[in-house]
Amino acid sequence: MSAAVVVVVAFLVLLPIVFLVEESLNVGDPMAFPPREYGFANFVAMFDEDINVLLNTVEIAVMATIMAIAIGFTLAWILTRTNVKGRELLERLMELPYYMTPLVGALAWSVIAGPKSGFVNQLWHAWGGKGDIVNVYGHFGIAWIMALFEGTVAFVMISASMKSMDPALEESARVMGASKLRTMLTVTLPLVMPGVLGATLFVFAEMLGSFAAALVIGIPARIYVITTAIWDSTLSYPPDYGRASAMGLSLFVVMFGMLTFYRWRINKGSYATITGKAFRPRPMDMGRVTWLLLGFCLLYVALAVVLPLAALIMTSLQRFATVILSQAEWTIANYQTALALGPIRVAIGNSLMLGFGVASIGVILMALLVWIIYRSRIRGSGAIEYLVMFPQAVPRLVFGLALLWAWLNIPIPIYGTLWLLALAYLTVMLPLGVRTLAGVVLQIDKSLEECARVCGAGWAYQMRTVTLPLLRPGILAAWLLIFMACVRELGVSVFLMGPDARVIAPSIVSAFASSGTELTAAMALIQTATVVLALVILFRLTRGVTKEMT
Amino acid sequence: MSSTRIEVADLVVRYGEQVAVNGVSFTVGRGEHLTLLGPSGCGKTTTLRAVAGLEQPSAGAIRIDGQAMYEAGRRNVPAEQRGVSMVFQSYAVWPHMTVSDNVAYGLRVRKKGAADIRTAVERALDLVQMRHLADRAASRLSGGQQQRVALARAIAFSPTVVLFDEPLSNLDAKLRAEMRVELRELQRRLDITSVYVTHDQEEALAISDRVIVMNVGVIEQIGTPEEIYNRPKSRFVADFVGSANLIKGKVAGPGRFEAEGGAILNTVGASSGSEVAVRTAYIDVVARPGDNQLPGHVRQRMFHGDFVQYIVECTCGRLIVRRPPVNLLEEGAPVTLSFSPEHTVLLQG
Repeated sequence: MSAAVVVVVAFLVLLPIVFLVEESLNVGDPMAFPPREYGFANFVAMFDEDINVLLNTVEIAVMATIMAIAIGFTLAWILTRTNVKGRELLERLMELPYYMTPLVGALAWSVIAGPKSGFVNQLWHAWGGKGDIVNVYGHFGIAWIMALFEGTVAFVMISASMKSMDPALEESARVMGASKLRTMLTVTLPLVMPGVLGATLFVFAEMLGSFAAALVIGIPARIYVITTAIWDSTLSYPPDYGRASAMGLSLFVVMFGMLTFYRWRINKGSYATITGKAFRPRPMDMGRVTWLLLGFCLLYVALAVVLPLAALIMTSLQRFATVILSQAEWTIANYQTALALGPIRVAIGNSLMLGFGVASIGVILMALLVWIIYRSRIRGSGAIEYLVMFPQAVPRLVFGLALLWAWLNIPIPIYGTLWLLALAYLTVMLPLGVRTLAGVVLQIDKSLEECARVCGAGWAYQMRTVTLPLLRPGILAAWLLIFMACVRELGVSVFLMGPDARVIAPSIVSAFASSGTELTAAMALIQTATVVLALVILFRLTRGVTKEMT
Repeated sequence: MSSTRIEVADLVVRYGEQVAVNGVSFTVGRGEHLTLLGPSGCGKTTTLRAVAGLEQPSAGAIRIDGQAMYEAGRRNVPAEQRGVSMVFQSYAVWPHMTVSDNVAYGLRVRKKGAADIRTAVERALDLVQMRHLADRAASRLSGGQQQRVALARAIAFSPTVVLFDEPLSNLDAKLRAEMRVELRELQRRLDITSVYVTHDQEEALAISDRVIVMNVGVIEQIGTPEEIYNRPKSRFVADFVGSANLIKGKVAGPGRFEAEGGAILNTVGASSGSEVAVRTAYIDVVARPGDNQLPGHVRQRMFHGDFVQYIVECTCGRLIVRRPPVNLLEEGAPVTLSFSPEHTVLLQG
């Protein structure tokens, strides 16, 4: 039983990587399978012809990481250690940029801060200014969007490490006679530092593999990073899968190494500040400075949520996007087009269908996996856990490339169909779904199940009457998270989408490249609205759950 | 020089609508060891933290050595300038420093010379028998060791006042008993004044010169451990500290109490009330002349090892009696309970 599960999961998770490795060593005809000549030429070429791409990648990732950590640290400190007003609501708002997705964020910022017709520049010209005052189409612009929309994880990680710190550690320093500043420097900072460094490493790895902003902003600006270079080499004729695989594999190895190092440091647990104890927060009274801090939080929400959404909504409701209201021609034609135009309508329908299907089948399979990994005492459950979590360590885009190459060559004809997309989604959603469900399963005391058995219930009866009802909130949450992730999926979809199997995110990208901004904005908003709807239900649900538990 | 070290007057601490401490006043003398005792949520820790300067009071005053540390609306000296020291419930030993860095912290803040710091740290570590671990990283200490480091850190810079916030509550029972003895020893050897917070009544009685029993934000009783135990003022104190039988009835004249069922008892304590408290340990099962006496029979016997507990059915209800585990009575046997009027305490009602 256990062996069968391992084989199936390994087939889904590891096989594409094997194909990727093989192809990266292919130095003959890139389309030949199996390769006729092996060599390292593809890797050498990367440092030779594509050295600029590597430099760009590192430069943008470094800038984005610095910004994300600076923003995340400040927000985390404000929201966990100070008495700023409305902390709970603000904390919830901080999650929103992540759900907006970097793709939508990048579109919005190209509308806000694009050259010439960008809203900020339009206002500048209307005010009599010459030239452009902002231009997001540059290294900094790409990094800025990455930091805003993919940097949320820095906030989450740093605030978790701040929350887990016993306030008595600071208080004892104060009682010993240390000033606020001295306490900050000798106690707070050294204790928070490992958490911040961990977050930095993690965010940097994510930024190296980031795709959406580089795709939307970078390609028109002719700034290539490794992810867009991978994408680009598959578009050439003939597609250079060998080159793409070599870059993808290198990116994977670097990210995997960084994440492994990160895990190792966390597990080593140099400082056991995390005692598993919930600490009563004792926020510092910041006096009048609180208003400044509140302002910082609101500015972030404005830049990452309000402005982008407002810009997209304005754009989507006009014939020609302008921020000068007297010149605006309002229309809902863009939405009509988006919903009427064959390919777009099909893409929206497909995405929803995939979301429903993958989420529904996924939670059942993942619940089974979770039960096998954490509850059954099957041998090899550790191996299954490792395999299931593996896709997390692979940049999404690289996984897409690997799947593409694998399924082009596996003699099962599902390439270019929704079936392959469904299979791919299921595979890449494994870590998300299993982690969410495991969180709930581990909270359920084993004795609750054991008690049912002792009372005379069989396995099926116990599952039906005890385990599944207890799991229900977790299953619903996992379903919604997977649904959202499917609807917004980009990295895998761009490679696996065929003419007969379109989905929404890549369609938005191609609409942005080929048709007007206004139509693209309407499509992006339709996608966002779907995600937000699911998110609202999720928040309702989790609030209900936490209420029940307290 | 005044003999009062700490003075707390009409202290009130509010958290929004909730009143955690509601008008608490007491003084602590030089070299005295005072304990705040009460169930969780009674305001004892909040009071201690207000003295330390870690909690913002809403009204009242706190003075140390005659200096106002807090005065409602006028003054609130920050924690670091109060010169008190504190041992935290969670120890709060800094995991990113070594043991000796932890202990030296208060001295470094005070800009002492390196040689002074070394001798003071060694002395403090010697006192808690931790000198051999001076260079160990604090994250690699057991619970009991962390507790000793926290203690050494709190006394290393020779503070005059040390506050203890349930310092022993995270230790296992055996270690707790050992540390209790050491703590008492340490208090005697160092010339410090201490305020100690605990919910463990045994601990409070064992290590204090005086005990303050608190409940829902107010003081129930202040007294020496013997006074608190022998002469509880209220039902709450009788019930919370030690184990007591509460007998209902009414006052039948000065020093006389008519228990339910008609028995007349000679009492001490309050002048009016409807309940008397009799400690389970003070009841004998052999009639003694001059004592209050109640006839009854043994309903249940439970052997506890260190003592044996009887539940005795009397006219005034069931009474619990604890005796040394010798000359055991059988269940069902008739018995005359006997206890001195001194130990029959009328509670304020």
